[in-house]
Amino acid sequence: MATEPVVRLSAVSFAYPGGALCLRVEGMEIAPGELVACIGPSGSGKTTLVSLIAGVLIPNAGSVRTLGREVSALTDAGQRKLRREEIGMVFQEFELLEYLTAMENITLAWRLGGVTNREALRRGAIQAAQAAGIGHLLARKPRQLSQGERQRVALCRALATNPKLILCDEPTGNLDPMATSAVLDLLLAQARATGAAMLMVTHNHALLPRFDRVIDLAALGDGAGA
Amino acid sequence: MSGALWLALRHASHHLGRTLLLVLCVGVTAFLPLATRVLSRQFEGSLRARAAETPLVAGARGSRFDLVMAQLYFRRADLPTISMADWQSLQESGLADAIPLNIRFTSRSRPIVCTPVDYFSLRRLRAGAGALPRRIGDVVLGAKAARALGLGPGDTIFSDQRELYDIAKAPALKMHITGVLSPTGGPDDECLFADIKTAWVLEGTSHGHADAAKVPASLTLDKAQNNTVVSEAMVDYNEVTDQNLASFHSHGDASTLALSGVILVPHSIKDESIIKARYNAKDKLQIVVPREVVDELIGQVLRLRGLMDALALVIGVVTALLIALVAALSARVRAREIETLHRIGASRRTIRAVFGFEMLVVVISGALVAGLAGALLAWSPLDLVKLL
Repeated sequence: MATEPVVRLSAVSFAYPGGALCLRVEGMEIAPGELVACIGPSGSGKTTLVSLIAGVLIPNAGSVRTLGREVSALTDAGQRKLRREEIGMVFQEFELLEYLTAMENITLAWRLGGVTNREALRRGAIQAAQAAGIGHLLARKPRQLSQGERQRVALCRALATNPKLILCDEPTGNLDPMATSAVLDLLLAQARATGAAMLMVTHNHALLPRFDRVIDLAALGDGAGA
Repeated sequence: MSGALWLALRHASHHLGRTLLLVLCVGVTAFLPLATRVLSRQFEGSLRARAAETPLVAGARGSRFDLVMAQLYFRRADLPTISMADWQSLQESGLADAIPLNIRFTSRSRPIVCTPVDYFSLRRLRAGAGALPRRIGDVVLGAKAARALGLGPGDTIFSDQRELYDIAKAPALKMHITGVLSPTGGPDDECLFADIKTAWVLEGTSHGHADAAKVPASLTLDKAQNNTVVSEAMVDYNEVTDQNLASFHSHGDASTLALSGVILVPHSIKDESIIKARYNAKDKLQIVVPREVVDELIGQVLRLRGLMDALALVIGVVTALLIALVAALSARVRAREIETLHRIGASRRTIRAVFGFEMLVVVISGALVAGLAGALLAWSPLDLVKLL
C-alpha cells in the first residue's frame, strides 16, 4: 500500500482579498520524511504556500491536504490543533515574544493550547533546548540572546512537540553563515531523527544540496512540484 | 483561558511602567467618587451626631451657620458677642436650661472653651485623669489636645497673648491643668476647658492685683478716700494662686460681661417653640436649631457631591476612552505577535482573551488601589468639619 504524502496540493489558487492572484499550484507533494527546499523569486508566494499548508490561509480553489486531512474542511479549532500538535513552524524573524523567557517561548503553544502539566512542559522544553545547545539560556529573554540563539529558541518552539511536518519560512535569512549552518544542521538532524518531513523556503542556494529535493515555486504553476 | 491569563500577566509585568500608569489612571478615576462619598459620609456623621445632642443655640444675630459651627464645633468665627444679661434673660424665662459659652480665646492655637460644669454634663464629659476645673485659672484638656501638647494634670499652660504691644491689655494667663478628659471622638477632644469666669480674666474685664493699700508709693498716681489711682506700670497677676485668688474681681456691671453664645436645653417641645418664637421676634438674639442648620449644610454638601459624581463620570468616560485607545494602539503595535500566536495554534478567541485579561488586570488593580486609598481615607483622622 502506497504511503499517503504528508502534503498534497492540487489545482490550488490563492489571492488575498482585493488583490491579484498570489499563488497557483497545479500539483505538489511531500512524502513522509522528505526534506524539501522551496525557492522562488520574491513575491512568488513562498510564504503563502507555507501558510496554506499550515491552514493559516485557506485556498480560493483547489485542495490542500496536510497530514492526511483536507485543510479547508477542518474547523478553525481543527486547524489550530493541527498546527499546535503536528506541525512545527519556524519564521525568518524568529517571532519570539520579547516579554517571555526562552523557556516560556518554547512552551508557549502548549500553554495556549491548554496543556497544564507544567512538569511535562518543562521536561520537553529542556530536552529540546539541550538538543539545540541552548539549555543554559532558558531563563533569558530574547533581547539577552544573539540572533543565532534566538533562532535556536524558535526552532525549539517548533520542534519540541516532535511534529510530523516542519515548515520553515526562510529561517536562516537573518543569520550569518556560521549560524545558518548550525541552525540547518539542527533542523535536518531533528527531522531525520524523528522522521518528520520538512519544507524550507529559502533564498540561499548554497543550502540546496543538503535537501532531498528542491521545488522552484515559479514552476509549480505548471505542475512541476510533484 | 488559563494560558491567556498567564500570557496577559507576563505581558503586564514585563511592561510594568505602562501597566502601573494605567492602574493609576483607573485608580484615581475610581477613587474620586469613592473619596467624595467617604468624606461626605464622615462629614455628615460628625456634624449630625453633634447637632443631635444640642437642642438649641442662642447667639448674636448674623450667620446661623457661623453661630452653629462656632458653638458646636469651636470653629473660629468673627461673631458679635452677647452678654451675661442675655444669658440671664434666657435662664430666667424658665423655658430652658441655659449654658453660657465663651470661646473667644486660645492657647497654643487651640480654643479655650469657657463654660460652667453644666456643659460637661450635657456632653457627658468626664475627667479620664485628674479633675474638672475647680476655680478660675484652672483648665482641663481634651484627650487629643493633651496628647498633642504632651501635657497632663499638674502642668501649666499659657493662653495665647492677644495684644503684644498694648500693655494695658490683659497679659497671657498662666493656667493650671487640673485634668484630661476621656476621649469622645468629637470636637471636645481638641480643646481646653475652663470656667466661664476665666474668660473674663482672659478678656481683662476681671483681674487680680496687689491690694491698693500695699501698692508702692512710686506706682500711686492719686489717692482719694475710697479710691486709689495706680500707674499702668503696675502689672495684673497673670496666674491665679491660692494666695491671690481672693484679689480677682470685676469692675463695672457683671451683666455686661461677654459671651460667645448659649446652649439651650428646653424643658419640653412646647417650651422649645415658645423660646424660639419669643427671642427670634426680637432684634438682638437669634435662636437656631442646630439639627436644621446642619441639615441645610449637608444639603449643600450633597449637591456638591452630585456635581463631583458628574465630574467623576466624565473623568471615568475619558479614562475608559484612554484605555481603549491604549488597547487599540497596543493591538496595532503587537500585530506581529498576534499573528505569531495565531500561527502557532492560538485561537482568535484566546488572543482576544489575552488583551481582555490585560485590561481586566488593569481595571481590577485600579479598583483595588482605589479601594485601599478609600479605606485609608476612611481610617485617617482627616476631619472636614475643621475645614469649614
